Amino acid sequence: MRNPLRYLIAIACLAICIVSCSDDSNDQAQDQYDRGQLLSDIAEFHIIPAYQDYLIAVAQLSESAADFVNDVTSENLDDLQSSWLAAYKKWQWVEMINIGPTEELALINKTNIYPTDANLIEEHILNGNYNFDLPSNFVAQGFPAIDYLIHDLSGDNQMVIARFSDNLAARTYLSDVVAALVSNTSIVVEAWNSYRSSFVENDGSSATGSINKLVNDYLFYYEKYLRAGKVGIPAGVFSNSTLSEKVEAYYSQDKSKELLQEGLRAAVAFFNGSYYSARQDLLSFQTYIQYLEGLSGNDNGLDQLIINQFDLAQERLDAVSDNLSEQVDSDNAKMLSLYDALQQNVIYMKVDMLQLMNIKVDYVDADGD
Amino acid sequence: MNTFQRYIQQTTKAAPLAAFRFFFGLLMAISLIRFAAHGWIEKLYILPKFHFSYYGLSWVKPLGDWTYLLFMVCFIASIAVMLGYKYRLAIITFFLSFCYIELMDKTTYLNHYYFISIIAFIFIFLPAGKYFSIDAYLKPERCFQYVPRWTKDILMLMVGIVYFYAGVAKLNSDWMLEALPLKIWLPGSYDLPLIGGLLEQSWVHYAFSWAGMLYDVSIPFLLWYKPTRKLAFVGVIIFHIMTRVLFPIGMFPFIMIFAALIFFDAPTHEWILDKLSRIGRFSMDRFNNGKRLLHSSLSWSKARLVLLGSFLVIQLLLPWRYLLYPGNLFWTEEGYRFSWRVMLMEKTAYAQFKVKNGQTQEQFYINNRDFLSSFQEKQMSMQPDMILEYAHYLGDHFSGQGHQNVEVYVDSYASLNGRINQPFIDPDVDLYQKQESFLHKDWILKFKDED
Repeated sequence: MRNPLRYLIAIACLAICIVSCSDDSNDQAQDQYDRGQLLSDIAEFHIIPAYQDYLIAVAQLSESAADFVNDVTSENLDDLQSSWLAAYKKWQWVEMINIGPTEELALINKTNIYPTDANLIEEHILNGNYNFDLPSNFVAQGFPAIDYLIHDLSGDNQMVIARFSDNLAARTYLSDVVAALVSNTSIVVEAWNSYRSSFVENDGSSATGSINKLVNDYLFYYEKYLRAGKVGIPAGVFSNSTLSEKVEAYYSQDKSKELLQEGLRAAVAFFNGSYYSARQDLLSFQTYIQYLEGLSGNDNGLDQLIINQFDLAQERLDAVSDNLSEQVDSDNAKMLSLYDALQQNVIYMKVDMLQLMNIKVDYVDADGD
Repeated sequence: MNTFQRYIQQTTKAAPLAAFRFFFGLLMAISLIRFAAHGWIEKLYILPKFHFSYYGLSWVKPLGDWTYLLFMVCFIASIAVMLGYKYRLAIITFFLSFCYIELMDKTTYLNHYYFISIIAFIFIFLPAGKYFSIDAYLKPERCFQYVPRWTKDILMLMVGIVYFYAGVAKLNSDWMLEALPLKIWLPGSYDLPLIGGLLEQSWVHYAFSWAGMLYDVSIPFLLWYKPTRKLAFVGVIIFHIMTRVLFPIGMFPFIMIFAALIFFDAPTHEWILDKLSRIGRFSMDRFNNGKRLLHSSLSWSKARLVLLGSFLVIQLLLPWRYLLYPGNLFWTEEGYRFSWRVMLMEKTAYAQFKVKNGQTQEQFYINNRDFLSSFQEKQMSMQPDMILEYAHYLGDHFSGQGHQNVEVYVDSYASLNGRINQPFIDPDVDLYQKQESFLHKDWILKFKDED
């Protein structure tokens, strides 16, 4: 035989065909978990409705801000403060989404980076020259910047009125920050209407698949924003001492817990499928975990462990005061125990859930762990 | 003459060795281009602030922007190996530059990189540039159609060791009785056309586990035994294509497919080389001079045999060193590397480091991503030696910043093959005081298996 290799390649191709074809006749598709449906449920019942309501709330905030800027009264300020809070709370429901247009526009960075940089804001007000698209200005816009502008640490609204009434530049800055927020939000929400279908269709297993991305986003949000940002950093977990001025909505004084409540509720809802627009029997991370545990034959009951841990965190959150900053200063132990409860779920999700879901962290060659 | 001396004097066609050299060089060149094209040089060697070293080799570090030059040298050397141009210089350069690359950061350890280093090392001592090479073409007096038989056998033996040991490593209860970790991995490819649904079936997980193990332990023998060789090679192709489709395993499958060609007899390689010569428009006649390269009785030749012989003995023993350590190998990973444990376990871990002032008890946690890439963090979290090295890095870093009485602790949890996470490293041990060594790390907590 003069050309054994050609002969071998032919056999190999034939064998591969036989393997593939025999598999074809055995269609098991019905047994599979419908990942496309999972994505579709998340888009239809969480992302889209939550974004739409958030956009409405931001529009309301914009109206209130316009009223206040035109007529600096304490009544208009009250109204502005409550619109700000309402929109900020809606934001908590979408902050874990960082995929597609949201990621492209860096919406999270432009909406909720805190602590805000008061000096930079004052500087901007003085020069009247700023570009909100620059990363260096992430700390001078969004809800934290508005928080700084419309609240006074003393809690005295008259101080705020005094600051705005004879300061056109401050009024302009407030309008501009709100306008940027409205414009960023509408671009993203608008884009999601068309992005939605490719989000749902991208149900593959690659590192760029929607599920992979979504799980990574959710964990990143939970670990960095909720656990660390809202609780751990102010409680001094990552520093030598407590940093009570680093709470979310610091200048409003007593809204930090309310926002955290909302954030935790949203994180739980996103996990267990009681989405923003709740319906019965929606697919969720929880049902996906249940399905995968069934496949791999383990009975850890991971989804329930995570839910129980969320309950514990909720319980501990109930025990802290409305003003997290004050809580840190007066009795930080309560904050630390809340942190511990949140932390335990980082372990369940980053270790057990990631393993079960086969989520890829990076694209690099591997030959097993 | 005794049997050994007779064996050493035997010669065989040089074609298999030359073909192996050619494809080895070619695949290395492709691998290096692929590595660079993915942006991995920057991602893995330039961007990270810190790199994990092998014990005793902490001086081997990435060279900043010069790292690109290092890869370039390695690439040029692999092309020279492929063409057989200044062969000895080329293979030594390749071996040194490739090893340097692999030793720069432990994070990227892969068994197939180790395999390449080993093959390159053996190749330094083989007459692989005596046939079908530029060297032989230019200097006919250095061209030999026949080379000592052992030079081909040693490659077959090495490839056989890789497979066989990889198979033996699969003989553990998780793999055989629970079909783990394939039960976790295979459903991850649910979106493959045709077979995606099958990959969620339990019997498929068991079938793949058992077939994989049987393939690994038997394939060296089936390739070696002439009547089964062709069928075995078909098996090699199918097996490696499957692994390529299912796992992010890079160039490894192609390297092993070409490596397995060494088991074939000379006519196969002569046929391949003949085809290549037609593409290159040169005649094979120039190489087929009938000359035999005999084993010389020079002391250099003897030394070479002793060296390669000892090297093979080390290869046979090294994978067993884990027996010297107490505890579960997959959990402690003491003696895990350099042992052909490929695609063997699913381990995920989480490590949160705490820096403490031993006197004031003041403490704070570390955000790993401030110091490590996501890939480094992932690898470090589950490997105790890397945890220790990182703890020392943190200790040095914060001491250097003026922190006093620095102690470094870690809260870590790991999950092995789908078991619920459990504490991994003793959280009460100040790792900054622990030194790396080949001794057992007694600060790794015991692995608790539920049954």
